[in-house]
Amino acid sequence: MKIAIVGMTALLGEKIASECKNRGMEVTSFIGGAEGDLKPSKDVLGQFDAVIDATDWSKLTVDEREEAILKAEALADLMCELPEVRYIVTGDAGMLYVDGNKNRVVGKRNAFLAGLVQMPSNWTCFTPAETFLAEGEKTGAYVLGREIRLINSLGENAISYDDFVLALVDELEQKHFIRKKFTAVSDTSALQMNKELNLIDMTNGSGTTFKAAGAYFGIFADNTGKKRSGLAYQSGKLNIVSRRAMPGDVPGTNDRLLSLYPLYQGEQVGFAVKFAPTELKMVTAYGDISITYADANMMYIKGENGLGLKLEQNMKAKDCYKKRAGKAWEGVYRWRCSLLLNPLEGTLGMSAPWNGTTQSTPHVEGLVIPNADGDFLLAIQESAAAAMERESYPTYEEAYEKTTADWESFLAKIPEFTPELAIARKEAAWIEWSSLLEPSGFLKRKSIFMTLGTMASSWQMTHQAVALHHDFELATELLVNMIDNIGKRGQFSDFILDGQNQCQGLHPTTQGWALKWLMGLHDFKTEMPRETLEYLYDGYGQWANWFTKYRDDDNDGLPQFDDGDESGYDDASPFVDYADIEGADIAAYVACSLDALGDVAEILGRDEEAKEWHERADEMIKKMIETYWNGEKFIALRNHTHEVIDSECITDYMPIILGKKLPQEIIDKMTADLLVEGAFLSNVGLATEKITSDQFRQAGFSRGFALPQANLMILTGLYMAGKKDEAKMIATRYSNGMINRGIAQFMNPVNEWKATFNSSWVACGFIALADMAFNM
Amino acid sequence: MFTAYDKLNNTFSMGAASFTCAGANFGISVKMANHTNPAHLGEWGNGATYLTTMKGASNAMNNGTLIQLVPVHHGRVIPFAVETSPYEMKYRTEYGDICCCFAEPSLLLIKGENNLGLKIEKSCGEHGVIRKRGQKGWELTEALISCFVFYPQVGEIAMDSKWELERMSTPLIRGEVLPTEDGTFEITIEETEDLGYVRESYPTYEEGLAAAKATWEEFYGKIAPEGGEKTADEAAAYILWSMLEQPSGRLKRSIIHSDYTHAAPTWTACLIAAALKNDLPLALEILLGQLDQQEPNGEIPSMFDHTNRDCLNAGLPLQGWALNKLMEAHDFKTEVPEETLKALYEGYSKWADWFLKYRDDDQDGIPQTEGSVEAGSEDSPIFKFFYIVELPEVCAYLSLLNEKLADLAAMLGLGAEAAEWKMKAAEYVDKTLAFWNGERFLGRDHYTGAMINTESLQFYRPLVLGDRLPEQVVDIMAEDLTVGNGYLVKGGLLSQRMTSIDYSKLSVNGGSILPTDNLMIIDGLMAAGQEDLAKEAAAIFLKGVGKGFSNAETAAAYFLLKEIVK
Repeated sequence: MKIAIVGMTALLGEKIASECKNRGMEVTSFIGGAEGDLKPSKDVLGQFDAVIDATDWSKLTVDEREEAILKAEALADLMCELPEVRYIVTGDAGMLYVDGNKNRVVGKRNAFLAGLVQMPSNWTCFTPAETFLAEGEKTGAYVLGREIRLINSLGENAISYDDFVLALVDELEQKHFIRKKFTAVSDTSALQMNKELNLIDMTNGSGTTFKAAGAYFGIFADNTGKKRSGLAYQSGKLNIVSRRAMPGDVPGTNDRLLSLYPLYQGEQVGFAVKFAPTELKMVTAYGDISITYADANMMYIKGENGLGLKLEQNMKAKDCYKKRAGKAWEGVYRWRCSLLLNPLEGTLGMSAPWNGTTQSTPHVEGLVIPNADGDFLLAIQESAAAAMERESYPTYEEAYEKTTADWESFLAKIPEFTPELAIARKEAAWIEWSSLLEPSGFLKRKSIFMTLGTMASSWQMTHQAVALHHDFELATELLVNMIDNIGKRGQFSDFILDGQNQCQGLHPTTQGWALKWLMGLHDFKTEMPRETLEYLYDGYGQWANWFTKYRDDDNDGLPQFDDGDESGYDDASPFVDYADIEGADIAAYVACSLDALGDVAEILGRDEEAKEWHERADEMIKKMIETYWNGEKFIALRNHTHEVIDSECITDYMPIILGKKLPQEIIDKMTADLLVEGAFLSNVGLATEKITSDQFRQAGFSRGFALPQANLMILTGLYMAGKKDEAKMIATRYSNGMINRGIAQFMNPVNEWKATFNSSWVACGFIALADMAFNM
Repeated sequence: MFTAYDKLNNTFSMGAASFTCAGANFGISVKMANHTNPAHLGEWGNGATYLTTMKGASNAMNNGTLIQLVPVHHGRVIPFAVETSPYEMKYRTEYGDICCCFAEPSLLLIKGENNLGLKIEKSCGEHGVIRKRGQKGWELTEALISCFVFYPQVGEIAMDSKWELERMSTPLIRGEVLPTEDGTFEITIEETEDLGYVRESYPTYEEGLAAAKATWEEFYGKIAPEGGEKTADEAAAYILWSMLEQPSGRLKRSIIHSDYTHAAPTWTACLIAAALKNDLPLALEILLGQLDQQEPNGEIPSMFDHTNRDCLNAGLPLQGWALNKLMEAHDFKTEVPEETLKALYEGYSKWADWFLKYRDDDQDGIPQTEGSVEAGSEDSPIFKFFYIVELPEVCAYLSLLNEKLADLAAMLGLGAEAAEWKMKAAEYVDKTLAFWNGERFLGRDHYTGAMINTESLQFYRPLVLGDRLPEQVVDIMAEDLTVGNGYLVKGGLLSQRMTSIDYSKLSVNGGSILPTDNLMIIDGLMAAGQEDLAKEAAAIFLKGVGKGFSNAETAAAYFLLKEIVK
């Protein structure tokens, strides 16, 4: 194919020429006028298969524009006499329609291009995006459209020269748009996954709730459109969600409150979602709606450029919206929370008709209308009790700065790892920060969600404390918060949320393990207030004693679990046939707790008690080895009958948390087992079930996936047992498994696939293990 | 042996109430929906009873039913009748009796004779497990509710419950309590908030029964006046007794429910506390328990239980009315510890002030009521078209509250504050009267000021002010409430005038006879000097109640209105 390039933009012309040549086309450039002795006359251009006018209108001055129009018109007239020659014109982004209504264009009318469509030539008009980047990144992919301004996955109407050229030359070859207009944007879908630009993709089903530390409400992305075709900003909505625990509800259900839709001049418009740790944006073609927090109980939503916001919800019986004094409206979600909507700038009009039969306002719709400057600012206050307007409100900027300062202060306390893990570090840190909960209801101190905004379990607190120990004050809160709701006989609850105290279950007593690890890193005598240490000692002592007293039904001196849930490995293979299992894992947890209590007693100067704790620990360890060590590995037994349960589950290796309290030969044997490639050891850390086991599954919870709690506890145990290099090696693998994959719950040791939902549990496992791998 | 033709002497009907005891979180009941068991009516028949939870909102999670209990003989299901007394329940069969009593609020004892046994059955959801506990016991855990340990003291419990890992549960529980060779069994069922355990020893059935009887008789002796009709008194007292819930979860003190299945409304608890005036420490405990749930800004929730509280709706401020009744019966200054007086005063001061700060958006000095939940009248015609309203009764309640705060302040030596509360109390009477249009009390829409005139009995609640109201106002209201004028009918005062277009006998606040309204209004008539009418209305109400006590308000109204009739 013979191609002639004309026009006023040298760089664009060069790039087109280069691409054409790369594809074997013969190219003659007439940019600037003649090519040697050849002028772009009718006779000359008639010898080409295609003529391309490479004029980037966006780069022209006013004068240049005038000149360009004249030249373009002359060329267009000439091309009318060459209908057999393909004539491709670079369009002007100002001519693109803003949206599908086709009643507004992006910029000014281009007189030449407006007339082009009437001409009898073999024309095609290829219109670049509004942002036409001469030095823009080449994505190597583009998204096509026609006459409406497109948006890429980053919410931008943008294309690089390189991607434009790619699309243009493809059109030369494919001939889709003869006598038609088309446009394109760079396809940034790959960049959407680039966490440097968009730390968390809210729209990928990860289950992320955008919220600030301490808050019980946030933003959840439903239906923002997974399509990345770029035909328009995607339709869809964001939702305000509540993260309060309701009696009778499975956590995470029935929690959607208001839906949010951006508006422009009264019409719903599409948007992309852009995430930053302390600000979420709904990016529209007309500007942004930005969301941040002023504090844990107040969210701000700000709009610009004439954007408005629609709020909508179908309410349950006895839930309603009511007008408050002034301009505010209060949403009453009975038993759950109140949302006070207060328009600080702009106005809020609500339709919330009362229904006497359902005793509710069954359907509410609110419109936030911008002020004369085109701005609005809506404050949303959340509380567990009836809400009240505040006496004063910070500005959006003040709110954003305050929340950002809090976030950055938290991030600063997360240790740094390798450059490759910088993004994972930030993502994990954000998940941890946003999962934090302020005291409310049953929670008397700070706590932290475990996963998907649900559960805050007792043993997970110990993992979190280990991970966040660089903020020792926070770690201390997490270590002791379960004691606040300790049972009458010393039992810790399974999990506690603001509205739920699940004490009809339990999880392992890993408190001792956490203490052992943390006491190696901190001086508890000077860093923890004595009062707190005594509180911890008393509470942990009760809990350890509870296990020895109430979880030894066959009175053999060794505690049992009553099902897999209690062990923390719900569907682990030891529990395939029986629920009541006693094994080395629970014995190790208890022994570790007894031993750690001895250490704490020493710090407190209670030497007699210290001696007793240590003796009990030694006794438990001795019994554990005598009963469960078969010379090669630890096994488990069925409670009462003592039928042997010889599984290939990682829980049999949990005694490693006892570190050097174990005989060296046992340490060496367990270490050797754990280092066998393709057994427990994989590229992403330790699997929960040996990969070669009959019981291994690439499904479920604990039948094979590399889980944070298992890796965290065993690797710290290896480290404490003196196997530091081995521990660090595996920790490195686990940590590197997070590179570019997000902080997700399950890692498949076979194909390294990861489940997409975010989990603070994994975040803490990653932080702790990366710290071990790279900083210890 | 019991036969199908024998008569039973039931304190209460199992269909209306459950067998439980004061402070217990569980009991034995029948499942109310679609049951086919006539046994609960005291008649002979087949069917099942259930262990059920009494823990308020927790009932929402599983309809209250925990596990099914059915009498068997040599393993065969047999017909039975249920006989109830306040402290013992019996399954009466032709082979003998199975007897149940609560030795303690958390400990149910069951014994059987003559080769009778008990079948225990349940279908479990995910994570629902029954597991062995100790050598002979079994533990059932109900997430977010309670744990139950079944232990055979005499006989054994054979349990067939296969563990299924894929479902993380023992999906089907089938157990049987088996008698010993001499044909008897005795089991204990112990409920704990957290995970259960087997005790080193348990009381025998006889010991448990004696303890249950003693606890009951202590309560009954305080509650039931001398010389009353024993069967009705017992039935009413039982309901009050059985509605008490001991501290757990969020609760630092006992609370009293209105029924077994919902959280405890604070306003009805005030009425019930008044009925418990002969047990002053218990009555005050109930009032103080509300202050434990008070928000820092003074708001008292509309209802709460061990898990949750509805702080998005405020409760009706009936605490003044309750304190008034208690102060009529007791000398607070000598009988109530000063720290309790102080706690009541400080807490209720904040509560009284809360209304003008948080429930007076138009700043007219008259608090608004936001919705029917706050008004305690959920399907009332008042709220058919209006949501936020101003009602005379709230001003009346606040008048009483301010008045009692004046009394408490005086007891605490706070003279100036006492005078101020007294002045506010008088102002609230005036505010109440501002709703009087010459013929009746009305309500007002908060937004538009439109008057609300629905002929609801609720508009007669200002009678709680008694003789603080002008005589002519009282006279007019009394005339309205006289037999033949649409409110006072057989059974008591209707919640909606019968001739009103909004009247519906299917509606609770639009046509039923409610014990709360009857109590407050009849008591108010008495206090206002309308003695004859009050006695007449009280007698009609009491006759209508008979022995049918299914909730604590009815029992409370029964005891308090009996004093009027006396």
